[in-house]
Amino acid sequence: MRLSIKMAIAYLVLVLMSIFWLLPFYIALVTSLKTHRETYVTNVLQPPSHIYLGAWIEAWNRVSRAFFNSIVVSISSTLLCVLIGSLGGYYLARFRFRGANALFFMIAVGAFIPYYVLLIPMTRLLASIGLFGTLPGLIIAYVILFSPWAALISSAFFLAIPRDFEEAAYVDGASPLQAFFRVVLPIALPGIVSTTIIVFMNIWNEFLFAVSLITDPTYRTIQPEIANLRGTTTVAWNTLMAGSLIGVLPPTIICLFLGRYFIRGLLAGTLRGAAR
Amino acid sequence: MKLSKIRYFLIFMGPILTITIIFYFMIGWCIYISMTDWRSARVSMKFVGLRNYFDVVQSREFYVSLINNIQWIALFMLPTTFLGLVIAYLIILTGKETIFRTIFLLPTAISMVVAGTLWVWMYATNGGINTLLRMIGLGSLARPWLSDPRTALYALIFVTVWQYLGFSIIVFEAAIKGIDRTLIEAAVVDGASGFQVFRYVILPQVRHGFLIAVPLLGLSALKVFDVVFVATRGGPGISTYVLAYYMWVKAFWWRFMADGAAIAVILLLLSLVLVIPYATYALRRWFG
Repeated sequence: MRLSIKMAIAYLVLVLMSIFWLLPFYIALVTSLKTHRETYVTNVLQPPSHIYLGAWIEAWNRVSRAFFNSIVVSISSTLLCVLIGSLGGYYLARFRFRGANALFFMIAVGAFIPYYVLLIPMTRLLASIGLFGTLPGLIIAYVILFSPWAALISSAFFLAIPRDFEEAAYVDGASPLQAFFRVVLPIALPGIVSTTIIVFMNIWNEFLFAVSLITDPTYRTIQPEIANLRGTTTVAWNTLMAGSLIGVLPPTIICLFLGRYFIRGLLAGTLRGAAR
Repeated sequence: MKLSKIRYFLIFMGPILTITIIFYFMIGWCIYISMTDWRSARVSMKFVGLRNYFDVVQSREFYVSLINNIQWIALFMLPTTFLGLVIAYLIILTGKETIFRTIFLLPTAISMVVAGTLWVWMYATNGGINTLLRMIGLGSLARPWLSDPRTALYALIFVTVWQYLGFSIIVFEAAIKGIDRTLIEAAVVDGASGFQVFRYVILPQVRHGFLIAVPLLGLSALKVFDVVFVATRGGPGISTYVLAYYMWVKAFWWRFMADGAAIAVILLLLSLVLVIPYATYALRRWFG
């Protein structure tokens, strides 16, 4: 009996907290399905009297270009970061060389400091190679910012893999590159998926560089576009909420369906040691 | 043999090494820019020493931003770590880990821009929070949270608690799961209540969780920018200014690039207080 009361309290706290934690999403959803008039005259918690998709259509027209820009930027820079990061992360996890500790330390410090410190020089760097204000410029910026992250996170996963497989490959005469691509990567695939997810989410959600390095609205990515919607006084709440929900679609889908990998990636990103 | 070793070192480490070098070169570059007279749309690299730092530090915006960042760190870190630990414990207790974890992680997965936007609507005069307060008979507390300078900062701090709680939960969940089960079982056999188990067995054993959560959450609070940008633009007045936002306003609004760079360097130095011990600790766990 005592035990079940304890459980009841645990459930009560968790369910109440969960409802409150989901409330902003719920309100955003119902608001996005109301007409402009209805958002003003009805209670925010109340579901719409009928499903109205006008706000979603308007929001999509306003943010679709930015959404595709973000897809291009996020996918290409994520792939580059993960390639660069996992090559380095593997070497850091497996081979002892002079300066390995110092290098690990430098990369870790680079991954944790406020990356804002790179912003102003980045405008100069990109301007000097003629890529300021372009999507390739933004991709370069993200590769510089997030490759150290990718190296650290993937390294945590490589550390957790037993050496036996590679050693067998070496005995069979494989080169380190062959061993890496044919033996290690397939075994480390779940870890690589986690790394990819974390880097992708960071880049998709990144705002400061996106808003500062792109000035032409044609090349704007999704986060600045949502901030712009929010700053435009003529945009109604229903459109703004629909636009926000469109903007969180990729990370939300990942969180719901690949949550396990997301969590493992988050934990590996804390550098608590080899990722289990 | 020696040659091929160098070759493979370059293939594996070359790209990340190059990027790390560029990364640190750019930090140095930022420090240099912070000591120039680049204070307009036209790039100028004349060296002026620490003048920009004196100007920045003496401004009222800097003072308000610094105080706000300090408040942000304290008022964000404490509830987020504490709630994270308690909820992680409750989640493990119920055994319904997947569902609850997913719910609390959703805000962690979305961008701070969207989080800010959703909460602007939550905090609006007829938004979610005020509606809820009226529903439970606390209508007198209802207010325009973000346009009242007394509540705006704390309202924004709460948005970050909402966002990072999921992260804190999974850190503590992992820490609790790392505890030897037999310790908990022994305590239960000895007749300890749920609270006693939590207080005397779990709390002392999750030290590692605190060592991760506290510095990383502190850093997040120091870096906070997006939510201020979308929700209040630093207002009302300058009441919700934070260092990162002040940097952006100086550099990209007023085009005082050198001043912006100086603020960025100050932000970097402040962060090193947390980053260096943390990286050292991580390094020890990594290779030790």
